[in-house]
Amino acid sequence: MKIVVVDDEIGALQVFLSEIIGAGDVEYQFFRDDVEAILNYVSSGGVDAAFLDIRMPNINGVDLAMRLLELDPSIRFVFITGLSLSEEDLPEEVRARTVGFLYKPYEIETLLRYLSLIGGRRRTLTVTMFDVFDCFVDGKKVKFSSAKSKELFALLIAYNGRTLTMNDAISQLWADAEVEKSKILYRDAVWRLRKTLNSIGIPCVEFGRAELSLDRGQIVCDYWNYLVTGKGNYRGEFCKSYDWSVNYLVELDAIKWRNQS
Amino acid sequence: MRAISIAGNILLFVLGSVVSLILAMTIEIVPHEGSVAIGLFALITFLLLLLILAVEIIAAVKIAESTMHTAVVAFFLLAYLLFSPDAIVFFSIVGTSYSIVSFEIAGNIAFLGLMFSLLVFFRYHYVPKRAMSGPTVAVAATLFVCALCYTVLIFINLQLIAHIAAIAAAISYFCGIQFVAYRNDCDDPTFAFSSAILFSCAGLHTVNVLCFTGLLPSSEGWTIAYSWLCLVCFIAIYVFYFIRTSRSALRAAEYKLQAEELKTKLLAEQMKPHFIFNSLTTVKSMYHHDVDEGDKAMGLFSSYLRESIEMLDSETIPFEQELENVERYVDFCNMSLEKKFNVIFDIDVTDFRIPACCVQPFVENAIKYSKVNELDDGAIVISSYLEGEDIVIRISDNGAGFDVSHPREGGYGIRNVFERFRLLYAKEPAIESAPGEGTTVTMRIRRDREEHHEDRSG
Repeated sequence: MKIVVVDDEIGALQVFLSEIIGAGDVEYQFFRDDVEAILNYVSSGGVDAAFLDIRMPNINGVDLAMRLLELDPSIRFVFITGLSLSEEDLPEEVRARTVGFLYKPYEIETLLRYLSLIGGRRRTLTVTMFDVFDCFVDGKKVKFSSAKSKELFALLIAYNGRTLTMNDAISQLWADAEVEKSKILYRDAVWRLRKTLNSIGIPCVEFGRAELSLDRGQIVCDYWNYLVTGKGNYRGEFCKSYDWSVNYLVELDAIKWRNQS
Repeated sequence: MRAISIAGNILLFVLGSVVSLILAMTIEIVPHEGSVAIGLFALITFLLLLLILAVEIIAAVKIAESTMHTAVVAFFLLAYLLFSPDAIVFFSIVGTSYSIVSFEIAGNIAFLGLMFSLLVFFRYHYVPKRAMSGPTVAVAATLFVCALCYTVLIFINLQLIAHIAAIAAAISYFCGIQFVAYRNDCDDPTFAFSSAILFSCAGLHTVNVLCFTGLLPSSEGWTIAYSWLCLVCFIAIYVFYFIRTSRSALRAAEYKLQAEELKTKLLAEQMKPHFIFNSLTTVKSMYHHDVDEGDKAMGLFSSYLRESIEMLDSETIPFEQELENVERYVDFCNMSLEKKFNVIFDIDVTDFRIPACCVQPFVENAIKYSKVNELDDGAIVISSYLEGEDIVIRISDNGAGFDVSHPREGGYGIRNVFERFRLLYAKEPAIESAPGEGTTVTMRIRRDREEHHEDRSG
């Protein structure tokens, strides 16, 4: 993946550099707002994306984008800006090729997410359920907004494609609470789960009216794998720390037995 | 207003239809040639209506909200008066040869066209799209049948029956519309004057039919009288429409000014130095503790600043965005607290818009005063759900509460929310609280109203 980064402030460029140095597999070229040099570099071809600052003394980021599009119509853009520029402010042709916006001071996760989008790498969520339940994206552990939203997600994955209804979820996650309160907590968990999945860019859950269903295409899960192939790290522990996990141990033990014999 | 317009309409109809019927049955009117004056009057009326038709067509083309409906109505009205008995008088004076039968047929068709276009006008303007979709077709069919009947029955002088049937259909449809308009509370002068045109033409046509069948020798200037009435109604409609648009333009300008003012004041409040320097201190201390924590605090604080500035750009923001802002605000506040605040998002409906920063001040208050972070089961609950036609947004906590009759000092943010809500929705949030019993803030917005207030100013 080849990118160009344009910003008239050296400090900003240095910050960017320190962040992508760890990203690997990225060939980058930095420019201050020297329009000639940028156009020359892009016209030599092969640039996947341009990270452009909006406000620069020599040229406006959006105007620069228009000129880059003339040289290479397949180039993608990420705009770096301090204020809240949004899609509507961009001309149609640029908007169509814009991957997103980085609002200064931006978070490195957002930057890495855009890089993986540009790289065309399909993002998958790697889920481990043997021993403890955890999720990973691009090698980093996913931080959930609340413990219950994480548990809800675990239950949905354990359901292995079946739809999880609100009532089922409540009876397993909030068995002790009274009904009205548990419905509130359910909605809270659903909300938090939705936000978390959006922030990692893996919209794999369909949020229906009082029910949840999963799009399995974006997920790699050791439990599902074990059910199908019998191969995996199952050592007697499944989603440790969740009460409802005991329901699944019987089937898992049976598979383990079968494979041992 | 409604009572007066209904009474007036009935009177017009009665005058035209019933009285002329009675006259036809009882009094022997001596037929006479017809005066030049009446003929001339007819011409002048005709020219004035032609002028109105021209105005209507220009308006329909030029003004965005106008439709061709009123132009079509004006056209049929014109055609109708052109083929009326009084116009016949004029033509006879001028000496044009004509066939009375073709005149009558043309007049009937014009009358039916007039009725139909008026009814379509009413249906389109005063009945919400959802209701009453069937009857238009039924009425059209009825009127078409009547046209046939008119034409056929002319030759046996029984047009009166067809006429009565047409009137009956038109009036019953009109009554249906009246009922729906009453239910939806859309009574206004335009409606009254438009229905006056309908009823006076209905009454007038009774007179005309009686003339054509020979029961009345001439319409004796009734046509003139009624057509001047229609003229006056048209003019009155214009006047009221003009008044209404200029009034609403004035109100819109005022509203815009007020909204801007409130937003600027709120922004000033959000940017209070006290909060900013406290926050920067939090960020600094986070960095000293752990760089990642510092980055997180920095991100939260700068998002907060960004949202506050963005608030100036738009009237309303998506509800989800406001909730995300609130969550970030709470996360940021929690960073420097040992006992953290627990916020529960009891969200059932999210696809609507809300003024920027109208949930956050209440949450801010809860953080400042409710002390729920010290309770075992303490929490701030933000709920959103549908209740009938309304979307309800509720912020509640089971904390300290306060005496509502003695509102706390300061807290401009909350006063600002109240004012903006009043401006936008003509309603205020409701606050319920009692010492020791927690606090609940409830806001209601109508499901369809909230769509109208999307705005990008500047």
